[in-house]
This record gives sequence, C-alpha cells and structure tokens, in this order.
Amino acid sequence: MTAPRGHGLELLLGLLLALLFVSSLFIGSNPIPVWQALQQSLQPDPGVVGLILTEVRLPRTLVALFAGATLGLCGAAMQGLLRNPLASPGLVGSSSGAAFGAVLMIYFGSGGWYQVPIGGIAGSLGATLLVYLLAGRNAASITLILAGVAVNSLALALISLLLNLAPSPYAVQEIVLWMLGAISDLSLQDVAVLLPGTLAGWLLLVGSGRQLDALTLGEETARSMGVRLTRLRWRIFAAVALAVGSAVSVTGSIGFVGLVVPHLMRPLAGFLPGRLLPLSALGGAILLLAADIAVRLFPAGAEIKVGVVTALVGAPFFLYLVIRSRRWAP
Amino acid sequence: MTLLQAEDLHLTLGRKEILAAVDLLLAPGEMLGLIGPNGAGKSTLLKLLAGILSPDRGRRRFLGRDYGRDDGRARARAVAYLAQQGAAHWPLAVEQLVALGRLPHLGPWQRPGEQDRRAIREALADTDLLELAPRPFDTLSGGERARALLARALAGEPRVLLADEPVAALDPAHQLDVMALLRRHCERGGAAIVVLHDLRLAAHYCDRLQLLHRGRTLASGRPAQVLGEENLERAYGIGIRPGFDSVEQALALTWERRPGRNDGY
Repeated sequence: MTAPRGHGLELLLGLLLALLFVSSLFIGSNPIPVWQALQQSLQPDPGVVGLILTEVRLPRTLVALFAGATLGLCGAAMQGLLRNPLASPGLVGSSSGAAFGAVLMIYFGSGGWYQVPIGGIAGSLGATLLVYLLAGRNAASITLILAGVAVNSLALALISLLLNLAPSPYAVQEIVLWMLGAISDLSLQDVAVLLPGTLAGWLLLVGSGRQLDALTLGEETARSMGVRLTRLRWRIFAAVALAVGSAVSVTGSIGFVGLVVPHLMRPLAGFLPGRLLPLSALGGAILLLAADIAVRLFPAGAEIKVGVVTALVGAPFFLYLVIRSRRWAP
Repeated sequence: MTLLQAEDLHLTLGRKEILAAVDLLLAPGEMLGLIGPNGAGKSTLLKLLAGILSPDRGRRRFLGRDYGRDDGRARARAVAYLAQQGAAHWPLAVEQLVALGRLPHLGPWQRPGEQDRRAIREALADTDLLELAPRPFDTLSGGERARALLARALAGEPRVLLADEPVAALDPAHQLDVMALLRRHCERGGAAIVVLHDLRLAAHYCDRLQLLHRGRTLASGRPAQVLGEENLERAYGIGIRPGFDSVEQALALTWERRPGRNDGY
C-alpha cells in the first residue's frame, strides 16, 4: 500500500471534525434551538440557551477537541519514537504522573479551581523527567519502555496509597470519579488551563515527522542519516509531558485514544510515522468528540464518563486490530 | 586525494577495548574490504566512520574536513551507512522505504522534487526492485529486503557507501549481484567500505583489504598481500586444506552470474 499523495485525507478528516464540532455544540440531553442560542450568545446579556452554548457546550467541545488531538498526536509520536505499536502517550509516565499530581491536589488542596490542573501538569513533568533520568541519555527504546512501566506503577501505587488512607468515602468517590476521565462540568477557565501546555507540546512536535520517518530504519541508521536522537527524544518527551499532562489534568484519564487512534490511522498514512502525526491528531479529536456526543445521548440516570466509553469501546477494538495486524507487530 | 580518512582511532566500551590505533584511508573509486574474525571491530569501525559512534581518541575526516558535532546531516548526504541485518520497523511500501534515503537532502517541510524522484527510481532500477515498488516491506523475502535496504542507501546518491555485511543473507547469485552493484558504484566515482566474511568475494571484488584482529589492523593492502597464509592463520585460525596448492587457488571465485536466471527473486 502506498501513501496517497496530496492532502485529500487530511481535508476529509478536517471536514468530519468540523461537523462533529458544530454538532457537539448543539447536541445534548437538552437540545437547544440553534439559531436562538447563537443570537443570544452574541448579545451582552445572553439568555439561558445562550449561556448553555457558551458556558457549557463550548468549553466541553473545545476540551474534547484539544485533549483528543493531543492524545492521538502524542500516541503517534511515542509509537514512532519507540517503534513500538504498543507504546501509548502515557508510557513515559505523563498520564499516571498527572493523575497522581491531580489526586494529590484533590486530597490536600484547598479547593481552588486551578490547583488540580497545576498539580496534574507538575506531576506529568516530574514523572516524565524521572523516566528520562532512569533510562539514561543514550538508552535503547526497551530501557525507556521499562523505565516508563516502573514509574507508571509507582504513580499508581501512590494513588492507591492516597485512596487507602482517604479520610472519608466522599474523598475516595471524588478521586475515583475524577480518574474515570470526563469532559463534563468544564468551564472556559479549564480551557485556559489546558491551552498553554497543549500548544507548547504541539509546537515541540512540529517538524519532527521526517526524523521519525528515518527512525523506521532503526536508531543507528537514523543516526547515520543525521538524526540527533538524544535531542529528538528530549523533544518528544517534553512535548508529551506538557500536552498529555495538560489534557489529563483537565479531563482525568481518558484511556485508549492514544493507543487506538494511531493504529487506526497508520495504514491510511502508508505506515509513515511522520505522515501519521497530523492524521492521528485529527483522528483523536474526532474520536473524543464523537465519544463525548455519544455519552450525552446515552439514556442513563447518571451520565457515563467519556473515559469509560473510550476504554470500553477501545479495548475490544484494539484487540481486533492486534489480531488483524499481527504481521507488523514486533 | 582522499575521500575518507581515519587516524589513530581508539574506542573502549565498558572495559573492553574495541579498537586501538586504527588508521584507514579511502580514495575515490576505491572499494575497500574490511575483513577479520567476529569481534575484531569491523562493525564498530564502520559505525565510527558513519558518525553513529564517537571515538575516545583519533580523527575522522571527510574530504579533508574533521567530523564535527553538528554536521551529521550534511555528511549524511555524502556518506551512507547500510546496517548489518537492517530492518524496517513499519511495513512501508518498498518505494516509501527507498524514498527515506532522500531525507538528508530534504528540509522538514520540503516536498520531494524531480531530482529526488529520479534518484529513487534509479535506486529501485539498479536493485531490480521496480516491480516490487508498491509491495509492503514485510512481505518481501530476505534477499529482497536486503536489496530494498541497499536501494535506500543508494537513493541518497552518496559518494561513500559504508556497508556492513551486505551479502550475509543472500543466495550466491544475489551475493554476486550486490557485489557487482557496489563495484559499479565505485566505478562511477563513488567509493565503498564493505565488511565481508566471504574471503573469496573480498579477494575478487575489493581493490584493497584491511584485516582487523582484536581491534587492531593486522594487515592492509592489495588482496593478494593481505590474504597470506600467515595472516589467515593468525587472524582466523584457518589454513589451506590439503589438496589445494596455494591461497590464490583456495580463494578463487568459483561461481559466476548467469544473466536471465533467478531474476524473479
């Protein structure tokens, strides 16, 4: 299979994304009249439907867009860097580190809205740095993977410890519900917290596609082609720590998007890791937006968390992909 | 004129001395064979020349200029490295894989141009891969994979080709084909350093041989000089079988390529 030339595929996915974005603004448990909502939201003193649009639906939609794109993009970058289709953006410790930092803040914080995200981003950066230091500067990919597994286990153990020692069942419930991963009950403040790290992470990945392509031939050959591997690794680690840390801090753990989306898009990218980056970002945003619309429409007493849906759908689907594509597994 | 030059290279990994006081010269048009027993330091020497490893001591120069820290990309346009048992980690189409050879020539946003496409096509044609161009790499046979990876290196249009056991996985016919291809690269003004285990191929195709033994150069010169009985016994622990009169006789290339056969791969 050859990669299609041109950008037709990107365009198609972009259109689908735009469609979902608009749908996400107007679909929900309480459908709102589109025209009225738009008119109201532009007025200085909007009515109820206008407020639903700007204060409820818009933040939720933006977070789904940015977090989904981040998970897809970073999953593709990690898989390209480690040349391992089982690598996920959380492998470097970013997700579990962010979860630990955020839980620590839920636990000990004084309740300011900014505390949980800040704790999350700090946890993500700390965990990623720890993985990097443990693995060493010139580590082979397998060492990085092992260090990541170790740090992830440590972060999860620390979260368990906090749950274990929690003073009240309410604290436990709050922590567990947060960890399920949700993009409901968000405000534009959350978007503001999410954006800087997300954009900084994306920027770091700009222009790394060709180097990831070269890595297809192995680390030594890539080096012989002028790829500065240590620098590339730093770049991708920092990008994942910032972007995934920001996303997880706001949404909680949303599983499987970062793992499944690159798998799904890879054949469409002609298996080129560089081409996969933008496609995977688009795919991640599409998947998370669609999942978030789905949970809103699901008739249930309590809204099902989107992280539960992505994991529930993602795991069997991933299994299917693995079985179907066993021939290119390492 | 010298294309590639190494002086007094030393490298110790852990506590093991891999290379000590190794010199090397490569002139344009020359095909240099690196030979020696397993663990002699051949692959390491090649990696030093490819800029993958750095020596503890010693100089490496390309066209008279010392290797710098930041000139990897520029040098990659002139010096290509073909890894021993190279692999592709994703099942790219052969054409895409070969196109990776153009990466040192392209900026991060530059799209491949006419010259890039021509170089890719030529590399595919030279390695008889045109028909396999759309095939995923992982569906190829071992020999086809080896040729696709060689085509990747050729697609960069390098002056110098550093090939680590390029014929190890190939049947006799394709061994001859690949050696002929490397030979042609040198006759067109390029040059190559080739790590070889097959002494007969080394004697037949290389202009010069450098015999490494325990990280040092044991002998260097024309094949007939290097492949003396004494050197072979000292480096490899082998001698001529009874019934053969001379090293030359033992090293005679006994096969030749019959065109038109075994082309289907």
